[in-house]
Amino acid sequence: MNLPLSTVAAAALAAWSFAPLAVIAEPASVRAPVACAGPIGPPSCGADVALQQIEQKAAAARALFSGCAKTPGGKPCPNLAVDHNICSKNDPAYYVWAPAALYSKGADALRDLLDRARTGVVSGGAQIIESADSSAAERHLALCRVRVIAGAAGPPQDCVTVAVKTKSGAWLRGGYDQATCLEGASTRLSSGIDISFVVKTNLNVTVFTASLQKMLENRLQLETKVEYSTDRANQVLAASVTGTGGLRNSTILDSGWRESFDFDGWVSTTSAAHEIKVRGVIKPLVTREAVGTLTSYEGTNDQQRAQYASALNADVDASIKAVCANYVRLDDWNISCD
Amino acid sequence: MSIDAARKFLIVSSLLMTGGQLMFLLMAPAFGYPLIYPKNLQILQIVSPVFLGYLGSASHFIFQTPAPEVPVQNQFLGMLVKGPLAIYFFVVVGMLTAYGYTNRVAAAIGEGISSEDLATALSLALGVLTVTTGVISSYLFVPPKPASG
Repeated sequence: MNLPLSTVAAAALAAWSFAPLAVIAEPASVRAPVACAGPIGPPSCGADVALQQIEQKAAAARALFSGCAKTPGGKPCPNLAVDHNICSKNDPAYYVWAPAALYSKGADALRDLLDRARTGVVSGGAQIIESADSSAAERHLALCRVRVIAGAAGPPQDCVTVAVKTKSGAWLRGGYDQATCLEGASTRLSSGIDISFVVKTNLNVTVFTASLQKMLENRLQLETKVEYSTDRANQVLAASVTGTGGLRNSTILDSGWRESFDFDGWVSTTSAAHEIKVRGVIKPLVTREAVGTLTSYEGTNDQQRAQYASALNADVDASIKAVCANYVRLDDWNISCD
Repeated sequence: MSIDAARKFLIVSSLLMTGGQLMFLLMAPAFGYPLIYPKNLQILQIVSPVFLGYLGSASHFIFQTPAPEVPVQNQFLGMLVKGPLAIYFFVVVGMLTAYGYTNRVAAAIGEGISSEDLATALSLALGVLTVTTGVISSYLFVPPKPASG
């Protein structure tokens, strides 16, 4: 096909002239920081996800969609989780990241997210913003909480990335909306908190004990002591893990709160084969004052207790997950770990 | 200081103290002051009644016309009306500042003043008022005499 030189020149000139418009045509979005370094930052600081992380787990995510059906009794398909957090949490255990095309109405959801990020509209106490770290090649859209008082919306808070759009495609956050949220923690009337997991595994007690001890030392900054119980063949049947913390700034509550608590943990085999139980009990004492006498410390209120339960549930769960090559959270108490 | 000036000073200072204490202790926790609910209310229970008592006596007193005459040595009146209230004011401001500072987010553990110690310090300051302003108030705001017969 021979095109006149003038036509080619005109097309080239048009392409050159309109090229900047392609950049300009990408509509500006409401932007705010999502991934922040350090504990203190703008209210929008929350949790971002790296594209590399998503791509690493892409095969496992795709497998969840293969052969799934929305019919009762069939293998359930992951649902979109871009406009809400499952169990009001950003626990990675609840979510999968998959290409938008795999979700039913994934394309519509992506369009809606981009539109909401552009307009900054607040709906149902939530707002979609674009991460301040986004680039034209990799856009991160985050779901934020917004407080609305008398029709006036506050700043976006606790933003969590729910979509990543690249030049080659888009990834959306999904998950299974569950009837019960994954909390292996329960509270006692005396303000004590129990954490308990049953792990179906071929690994032994010492592996989980070491991981639990490491978590207590590194994450909760407790001084630890471990005692093993063995059978006649010198095989470890159970371990007691004790963590002690003096008066200190709270690692779990908001800044300004001081705490003191001990962690009494047990890792033991059960009567069932290939099953290990991981348990822990804490009874924290807290105060908002910087006082150095334990008598000024009090038991937690309901909200603080929930914060401790949630944090310790996540920490103990993470310590189990750390030693599993293949980790699956079966329900709130049971974990499969190989 | 004249008798009327002393009465005015007591009324105005009691109103200011009551209003200031109520405003600060009720609102400060909302802005990060470490005296959280219900400890702020417990401190209010300690510091408010004294000033409410002065205001109550003054409210009874204003309905007596003419005001009964009060014999007093004027050269000491001003000192004993203003002095204790000034002491109380500075102790309260000082203790609330010290409490907030020593219990700030960055304060080291063991540095802080406990709410029990704060309550004790404020009670001591109130003691100064009780033995001076309280007595003066009972003379300045003489209650109406009960009707005879």
